[in-house]
Amino acid sequence: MPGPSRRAAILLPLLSLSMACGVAERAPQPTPTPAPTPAPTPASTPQHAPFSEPWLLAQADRYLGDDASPRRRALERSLRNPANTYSRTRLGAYARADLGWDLLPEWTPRVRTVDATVKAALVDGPLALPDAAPLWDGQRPTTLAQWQALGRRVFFEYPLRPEVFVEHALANPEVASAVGLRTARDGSVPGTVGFIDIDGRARVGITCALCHTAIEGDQVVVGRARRDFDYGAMRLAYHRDTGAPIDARLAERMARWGPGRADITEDDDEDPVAIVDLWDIASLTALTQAATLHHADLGEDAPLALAIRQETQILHANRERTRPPRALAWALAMFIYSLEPPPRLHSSDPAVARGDAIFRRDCTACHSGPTGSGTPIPAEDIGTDPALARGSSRGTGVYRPAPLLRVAEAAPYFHHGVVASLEQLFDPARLTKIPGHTPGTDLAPAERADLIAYLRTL
Amino acid sequence: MPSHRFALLFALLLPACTAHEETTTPTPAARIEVKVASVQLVQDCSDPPGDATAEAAAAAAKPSEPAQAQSWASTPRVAPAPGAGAAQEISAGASLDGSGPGWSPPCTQSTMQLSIANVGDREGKVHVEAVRLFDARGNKELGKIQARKPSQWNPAGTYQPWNESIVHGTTVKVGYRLGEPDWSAVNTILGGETDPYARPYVLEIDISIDGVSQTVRSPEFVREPVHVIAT
Repeated sequence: MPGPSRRAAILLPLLSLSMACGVAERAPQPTPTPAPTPAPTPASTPQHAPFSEPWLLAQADRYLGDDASPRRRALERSLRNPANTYSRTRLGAYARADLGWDLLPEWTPRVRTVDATVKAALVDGPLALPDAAPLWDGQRPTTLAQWQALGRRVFFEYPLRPEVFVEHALANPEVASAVGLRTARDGSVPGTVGFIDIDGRARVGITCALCHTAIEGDQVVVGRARRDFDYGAMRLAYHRDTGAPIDARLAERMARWGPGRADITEDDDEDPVAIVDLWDIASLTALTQAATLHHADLGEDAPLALAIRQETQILHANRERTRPPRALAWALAMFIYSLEPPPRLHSSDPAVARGDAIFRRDCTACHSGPTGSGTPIPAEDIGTDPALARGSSRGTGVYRPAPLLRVAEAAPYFHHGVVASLEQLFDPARLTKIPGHTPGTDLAPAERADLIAYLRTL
Repeated sequence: MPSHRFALLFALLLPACTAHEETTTPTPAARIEVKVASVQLVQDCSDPPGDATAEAAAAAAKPSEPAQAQSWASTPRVAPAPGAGAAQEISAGASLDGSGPGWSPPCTQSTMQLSIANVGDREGKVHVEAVRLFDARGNKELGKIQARKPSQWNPAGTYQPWNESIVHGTTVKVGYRLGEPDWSAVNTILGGETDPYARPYVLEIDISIDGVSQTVRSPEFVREPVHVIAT
């Protein structure tokens, strides 16, 4: 007869399994859950404006406390479709006492900026990083500015696993140049980091900044999608130059990604997505193009939902062998909230005013709010490629209306980055080649031009 | 029976009984609690030759365990990248056959991580006896997976070889490399589904603690394609 602890060890996972099975037997096409009801604010919580410093610091206490229940609740409220893989794995493994990711060891990596010295070591080998230092000293920040400063370090320096493909590109400058792995004016390579991996080896890894920092001339634009970075080409270059074998079908898929796109889902569907900008994330009611997560409508759980996304993303990318200190995930969320788009274009062109009127007439039913995003829409109503929305990994059945902040600088368009320009987006001829999103294609040419003029000011 | 005969019989039987207790009563197993933190099922890679210490530690801990298959030597050999010294670090095993440095195919090792707490008052010894793959939906057993190379997390921020012993009053975070199940057999059991990657699985793990077996289950996980960078 097994003892209580053993029975619990067996029965609790079985219970969760049976619950999960019930979820899995739902309709193959996931039905989006309605927007969550705002969580009641405990009476003892001081009333502060959402996303103000005292409000965020109060939420930090909830996220970082020993009690896992606030994190568990925020996770459950944030997942739009509990049946997809993204949700199931998190529901099964996050903020549980009896098993799962909370039991992984915390890892504060020792890191070092990738510069000419590291590049030279990659060429001459072997790579050693004697001056790598812990990314964090373990001291918890007490102000929002301190959290953001720490989050910036996480954004640029916390490795999302070692990457042999990046190492190869850094060792071969012509490859780096060809795939958009750029060196900043200070000699660093944003999005890469030297670090001591958990097997003790010195490696180069990739970070958030690889995809979400653009290098434009002398400027490093933090938060902008790196749309000239071709991750698939970088991987293919490794195989081409080394002769390391690669499945022919996989090679074809990577070649089709092109700059600014990659397949980021856990399934085997071919559903690459465009890298997104990170402007005004606090205002977004849905995170990811498939609206995988509720966000701004979660009230006090919104920042927890974003931090949980970062925490689980980092631990998953690092092969679930460690987890980041939760303070670093929170810091990253605070830094992401702080990102602001570059100054907008101001124009007194009358076309802009006319375009504004057209936008209000034809577009605001879907594109609304401070970011121009809005309530997610069933994929069949938009008519774009439904693979992501219906995919087993992130599928919710819906797509998030694209945020429109600095939309003129955000080409290519659609969730999968297949429309080259605003002109093509509204060109009715486009529909025969790239279906979906018909609004705007029925405008007269002059109105289309006015609408585009307005969009360029957002 | 005269009383002195009772005394004699008692005197003769007492040591025998005592000896019997000493030889037949099992030593209580250490009180050890095992929980599964994570599983990632991606690929089974060659063990880097630098892991000699790990192999020695594992061998010392499990002298009766069959030798693990060493697939490193069969890793496809490729030409070195011109001017890319990183190859020496990346493909450390390339010199095994004397051919010098070279690049090897990228490989992401499947692993499982456990949290093991010794809440008793004596040192304990653990050993993973069996790992079984289950379909999380139908709860069907799909195959067996071999666990090898036990390693333990240390405060310096690395996993180090582990001899599978745990002192009392401590909790260790440990990892094992995992082999692959027979995926063709798995697909047959599952009815030939088109996307085995999208399916949720769980592991059931038999662990021996001082010779006493217990079974734990993992959280759900999916088999991850090698190409993705999940975000």
